[in-house]
Amino acid sequence: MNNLELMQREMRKSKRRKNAVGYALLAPYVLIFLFFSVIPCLMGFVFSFMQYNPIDSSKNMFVGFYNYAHLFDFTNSVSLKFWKSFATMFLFDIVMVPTLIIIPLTLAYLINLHPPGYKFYRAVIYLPSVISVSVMGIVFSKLFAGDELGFFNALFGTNIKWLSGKPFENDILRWVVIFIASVWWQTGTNFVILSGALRNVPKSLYEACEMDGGSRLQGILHVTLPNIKSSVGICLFNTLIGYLGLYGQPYVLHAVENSIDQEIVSPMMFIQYYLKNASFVNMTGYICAAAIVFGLIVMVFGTIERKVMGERKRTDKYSAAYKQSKQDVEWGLSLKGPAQDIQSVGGANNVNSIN
Amino acid sequence: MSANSAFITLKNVEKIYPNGEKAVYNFNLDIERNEFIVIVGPSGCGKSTTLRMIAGLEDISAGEIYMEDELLNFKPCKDRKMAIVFQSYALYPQMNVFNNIAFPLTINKYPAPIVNSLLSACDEVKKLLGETDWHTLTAALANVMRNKGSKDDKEERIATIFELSIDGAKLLYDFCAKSASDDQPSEDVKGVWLERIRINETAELEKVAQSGIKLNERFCEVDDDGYEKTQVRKLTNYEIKKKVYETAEKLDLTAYLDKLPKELSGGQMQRVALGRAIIKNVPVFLMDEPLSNLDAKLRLTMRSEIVKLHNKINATTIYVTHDQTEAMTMASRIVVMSRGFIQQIGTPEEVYNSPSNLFVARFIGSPSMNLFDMKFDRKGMRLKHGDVSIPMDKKFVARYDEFYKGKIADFQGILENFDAQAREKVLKIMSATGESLSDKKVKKKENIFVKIKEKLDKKKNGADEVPKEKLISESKLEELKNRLHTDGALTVGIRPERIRIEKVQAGKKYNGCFITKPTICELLGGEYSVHFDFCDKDVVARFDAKSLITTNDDIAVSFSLEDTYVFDPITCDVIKELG
Amino acid sequence: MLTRLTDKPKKTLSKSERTIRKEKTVSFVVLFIVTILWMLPLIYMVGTSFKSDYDLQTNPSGLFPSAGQWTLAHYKSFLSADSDAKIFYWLGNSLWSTLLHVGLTVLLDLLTAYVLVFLNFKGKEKFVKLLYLWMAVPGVIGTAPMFAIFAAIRNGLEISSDAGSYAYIFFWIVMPGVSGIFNMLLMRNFFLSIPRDIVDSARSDGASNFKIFTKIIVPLARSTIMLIVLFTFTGSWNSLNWPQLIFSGEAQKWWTVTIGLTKFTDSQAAAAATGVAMATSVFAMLPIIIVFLFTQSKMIDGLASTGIKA
Repeated sequence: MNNLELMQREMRKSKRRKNAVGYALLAPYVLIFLFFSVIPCLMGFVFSFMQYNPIDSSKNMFVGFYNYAHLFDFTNSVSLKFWKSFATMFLFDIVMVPTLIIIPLTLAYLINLHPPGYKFYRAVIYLPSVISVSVMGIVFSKLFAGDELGFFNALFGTNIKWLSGKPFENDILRWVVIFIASVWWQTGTNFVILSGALRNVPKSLYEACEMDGGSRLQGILHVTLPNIKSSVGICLFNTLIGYLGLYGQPYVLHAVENSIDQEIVSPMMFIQYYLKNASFVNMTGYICAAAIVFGLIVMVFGTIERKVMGERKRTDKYSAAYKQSKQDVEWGLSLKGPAQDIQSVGGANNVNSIN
Repeated sequence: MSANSAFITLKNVEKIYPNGEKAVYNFNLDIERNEFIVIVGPSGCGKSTTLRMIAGLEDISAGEIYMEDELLNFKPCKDRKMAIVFQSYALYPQMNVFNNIAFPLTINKYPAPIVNSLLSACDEVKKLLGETDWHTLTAALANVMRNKGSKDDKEERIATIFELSIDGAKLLYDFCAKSASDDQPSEDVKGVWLERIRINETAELEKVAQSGIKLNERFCEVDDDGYEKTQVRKLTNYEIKKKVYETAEKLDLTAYLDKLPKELSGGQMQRVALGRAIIKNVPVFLMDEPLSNLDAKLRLTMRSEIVKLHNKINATTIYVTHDQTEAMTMASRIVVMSRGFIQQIGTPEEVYNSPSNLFVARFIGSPSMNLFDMKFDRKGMRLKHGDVSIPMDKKFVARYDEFYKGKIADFQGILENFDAQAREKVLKIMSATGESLSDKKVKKKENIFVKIKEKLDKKKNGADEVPKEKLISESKLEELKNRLHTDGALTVGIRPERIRIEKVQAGKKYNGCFITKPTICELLGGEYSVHFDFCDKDVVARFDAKSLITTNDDIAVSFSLEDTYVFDPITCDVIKELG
Repeated sequence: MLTRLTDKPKKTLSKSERTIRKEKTVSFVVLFIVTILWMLPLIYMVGTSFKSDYDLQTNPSGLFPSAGQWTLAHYKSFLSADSDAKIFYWLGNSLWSTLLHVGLTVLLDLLTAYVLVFLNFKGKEKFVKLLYLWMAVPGVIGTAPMFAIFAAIRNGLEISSDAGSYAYIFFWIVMPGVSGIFNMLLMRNFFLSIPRDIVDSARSDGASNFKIFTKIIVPLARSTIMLIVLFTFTGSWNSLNWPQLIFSGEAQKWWTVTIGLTKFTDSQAAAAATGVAMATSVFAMLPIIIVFLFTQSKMIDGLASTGIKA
């Protein structure tokens, strides 16, 4: 073996060693990732095609698309619950998600003017975001208790039954409470992100706009909004995905006269309810199918959001138009014929010229 | 011409920040049309602040700014007829180059005559039909109409080709659209069009007559005295496009119209910023260190580009930089600033050859002026340092005495009535010498308790505290008084190119020269920068690279008295200039 | 005329300075009111926890107990040794499981990000791409099957002892999420921003990978680590969905705080014990509040920066 081949062998060996080290050190993460993230999803896919019982494996059998068909069978009461919960959550989200962008954005804009004590306000507004949903539930269920002991009722002498009513029928007040509680609880996160984004807009852009003749409003339109677009996109994405998976708030703020189990108002609650209860263990496959359908819908929404907030496709239109106009000018001159004096720009052209 | 007829005048302009810090002191400057003024100075000297006050981005704390005798102090930025180019270019990142340049035109309204669009369009098309051969015309029109594109695009193309206004083009487009799609329409169609025009014109003229509006021969509304009435309106898309293309051509940006700022290089971004400024068609251009973010080579090309542009559009430019080379090469007049005070105003030639104080002498010129300390031997009438001595003449002695007597009188006046004005005079002197009031304490983190404590302490000591400026001026007065009878230390300066260097050849006599060996010889290409020690300082001189020189060669150094400057180290003012 | 030597130059406000003042005033007023409203629920919670039972009935609209009605009874009810309230078990469970989760996450993220940035091996880029793609997959798809796997393995293992069950359950509390993609990519992004020169010069000085990792990379990453710690801590402490599934049917002693507190909203009876509910909540919130108070600036700045860089 000559020197060149020896060198090549050495190189390959060291490369293999490097690869081995890399794989070995990456292994912990990969293993945990596979076991807790990938495999469950794959298994979920498998289970959705089975009637699966984790406890009693004798009951397992392969049922093909039965679960999915069952899910889309609107006469089935269980499936109907799923779709009704989807509708309720969706309606709530249409109201909630924009609110959780607009309110934090307004507050962020105000706080960026740095009024005295702004650091304190920032901390207070963000604080609720770190407490757990169950604490939030305890507080708000007392604030809005339906009897005269509730804080709100006692303060205003009213007797509004906030947290009561049957879902899908007359529990609009309960949703109002959930709305208020969610705003209080979750404005903080988006607020902080958006105020960071606002602060990052370079001051010289505002000055340039001012010098160009822009008013305050035009400054907001042309400088502020475009420059925080990516952060708004992130907030929108997180809020949207988070509220598609709505669970905690309706759970802790449920109507007092119902047991929680009667109130399945979001797909997550649906899944959670049927998984928790051991008596439904035979339905595991069906639940997996429901989860997959739901997951796909969430992914669709996510993709739509990304597309909408993403960068617009850019065209060549100005360069092309410029080239065209140059050609047209030459063409126009040639039409006049060689005898024409080039400097005679049509008199009509100057009528509307601005000096 | 009275002083007030200067184009832009700054009178006693000052800037005081809300925390009491004064950034600009007593700025006075008259700017004529088409001047290229460069305000130059080290960072923190107040040059950007002054520019921003002129622009309207900062409020003016004291003094006035006039433009053509009109007070600008309270005018908002957009009404000042100025455009600004920032150091960071400040391009709108979400807009492409076209939209960035077009932005000032899209959001503003501009005055224009009120034209009756129908009548003027009819007139244009009539003329066109009369002047142009029918078949050529229709062939061209058919070509345009056939291509794909929106109605607006086609109308704009017609306007460009036949040099019509957009209204005329719209009318012509309308005719084409309504006629049969025929490649070779006969002359009858022309007659039809002319007839239609005639009908429209008559109807419109009647309407105009009824409404009592008077039109002139260009179909613009006029008032009773025959002056055209103007309205303030937004520009049409076509007008904007034409202007943007024009500007882009001037700056060689036509290939980049669709690109976003993040896809452009520094130089291209800078040109876009310039384009956005010149499209506004305003008389005054402000530039805040626009070349600082570019690499060295690009800076050289852009320097000349900016000056060429300035000359082409007949602008008046006020340019701020910390680079004295830019100031020297670009300016028609230079304003040198330090610590908020103007040090000198003059043409590049004046500022280079006749610096008014040590600061200007040091700042302007590359390599900088050589400075070394010498003692003034009054009896011997010469300047001495070690065994080097420069003989001075009687004129100098007289000037020396006059200078110091004057300075002593100044300081006595200051100390006599130590008011705020006197304080500022001392600060101005210190801005030239480079002395500072106190060692500035490191800014502590804002702590409410510390702030309260400081405020309380100030209140206690407030009335008794003697300001440091007074102490400084007292000590300076003492030193000045000493000058009159002792041999004072002076700072002597000479520019590198005025020092004569000769390589010592064996056998030649060098009278009146200083023989030494260079410490470093830097070859710049066509010449050397030769460093040598002189009077305990490192002095630089030039040497033609036609012959070699190394640190082993002996050199004979000489310079004449006329080429030197003498400065007073106490106030840093110039005692003796060239000659 | 003697003017005071320490006279500051007089300043009059110009128009634009006045506009700024106006804006600050408006924003001050609005934010002040908003902040007061924002603090109400928590003030209410703390105040009510000190109200005596009598006061709860007669003064429901007061934020604070009326005179003479302050009591520590509700706190005593679960703090005293003989109570059967399980708050301490819950706090203990939450505390150790959260700390373990945070610790493992940070270590794993540091290690993996280091490997992905500073080591070279085949397929590195493809792996990162896979992670980015996987972020789009909603976690909900995995919940049900993961629970099924949990139950199936448990069944298969046939654990008899309590300790064994406890360990098994908490294994499934701590481990999922340790391999969270977002945090790891955050760390990776930070490592990418470290100038290669530092690592290269250390390598040329002869430092091993381990030394570079511990002496250079980890100290530099302090702020990112802190960020990940803070958010993982609050996320794990407050998590509801998954623990609720796992703990269903288990002894209450094993619950985490967040799950335990849902007792107060679940049933009517528990809900009626307003004072105790409030006191328990206040107490349970303390750890998080303490963490928040000490780190809130860093937390807020860190959160703001994630919005910008991503």
